[in-house]
Amino acid sequence: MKVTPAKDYRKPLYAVGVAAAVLALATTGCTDPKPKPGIDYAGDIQMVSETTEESVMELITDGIVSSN
Amino acid sequence: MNLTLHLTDNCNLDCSYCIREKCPKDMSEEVLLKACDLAFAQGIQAGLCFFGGEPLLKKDLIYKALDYCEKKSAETGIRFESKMTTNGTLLDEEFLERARDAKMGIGLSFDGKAQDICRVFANGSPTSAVVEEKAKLLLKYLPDSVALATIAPQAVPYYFESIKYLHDLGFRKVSFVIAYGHKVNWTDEDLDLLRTELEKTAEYLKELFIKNERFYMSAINAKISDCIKGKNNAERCHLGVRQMPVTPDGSLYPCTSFIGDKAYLLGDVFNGINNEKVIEMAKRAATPETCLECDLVKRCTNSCGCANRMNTGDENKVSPLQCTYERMLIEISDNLGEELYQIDPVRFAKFYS
Ligand code: SF4
Ligand code: SF4
Repeated sequence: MKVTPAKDYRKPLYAVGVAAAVLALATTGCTDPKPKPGIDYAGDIQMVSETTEESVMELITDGIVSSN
Repeated sequence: MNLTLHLTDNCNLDCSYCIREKCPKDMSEEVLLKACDLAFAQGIQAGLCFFGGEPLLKKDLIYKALDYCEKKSAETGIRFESKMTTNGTLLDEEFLERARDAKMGIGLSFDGKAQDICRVFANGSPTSAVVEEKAKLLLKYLPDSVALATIAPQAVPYYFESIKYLHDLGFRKVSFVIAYGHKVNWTDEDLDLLRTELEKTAEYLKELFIKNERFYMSAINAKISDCIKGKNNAERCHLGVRQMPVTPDGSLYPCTSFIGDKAYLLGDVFNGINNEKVIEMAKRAATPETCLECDLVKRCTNSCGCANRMNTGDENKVSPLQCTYERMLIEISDNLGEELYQIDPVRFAKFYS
């Protein structure tokens, strides 16, 4: 196990393709451009927060492996 | 603003990876209400996450906070949102009815098939049978609840099995994180096995995608959707600005692993937040030097001061464990993303963006 910086990484094609499609939707007003700030579950390094019903939850980092 | 309320330092479980000292220190009603006021005093919404110890040992305080904040929200027009992270053993119908009324989000700490390896009652007896029943009850009332699993090295062989088990139980959202801190000892072999388990998980997510079934597995889904959105909430450490913990005595700290370290005390619920100290802390947070030249620097959790401090003792120094895990997770997530995008780009965009 070492800290090893990655080299020659290229943005995946899926991200390029979908980002372009989402941008097209955004310019037609079909998406919510400003998700609301939400409260997150405490207790894990990587946690989830829901913005809208449809929303994919965000990766955020708060709290730690703790009592729960 | 958002606050994590440590309602008590006490817990009825004795999980092997827990780094908190258990002690019979409970939050007083006075501290609780002051904390609620603070949540409403700043920002456009008030958020509380009930936490502990085990928060359900203090159900009375949760009911009080909900009544108080709902009233305050009606008076001020400020939106109020609540969540709770619980071990689930003390859930009951009365509480779940109140939680449903309050639209509370509940995160159930449940390690799935590995539950009894690390998560036992204070007397050492297993918790899996009890928590499985409570999980079913929880999902009956709040079907959007999230299962939060913490994977210690001993639990790695059960990683994929646990995801499947939790999904079969009815969870549509699961969060799997690896255990950090001085109580766990990861080896290269553990991480090799973890890779295999993550690959099995990705294969399972692909099967569900083909069946047009939505299932949210935080670690992988978030890496894919953040990549699409070109954002990463973990890119910058949010020490003290995103969700401050409040200890039972009302002290405010930047994040859970800093609790008790006076150098990081950011104020208290009676006198408010020391904003100068918050700014000073934010300025100190930096991308770890080892990561500056890495192509994944914007997709990785390298800047999490909390994880860094737990693993290396320095909030700005990332650990080999975290680096290895992040690289593996990004690679597996991207491979899955490419596959799903090829299978059905429209469905993929709908599921992941
Ligand atoms: S230390 Fe980590 S978990 Fe805590 S606020 Fe910063 S990024 Fe979030
Ligand atoms: S993958 Fe490793 S080197 Fe790259 S940013 Fe993350 S922790 Fe740093």
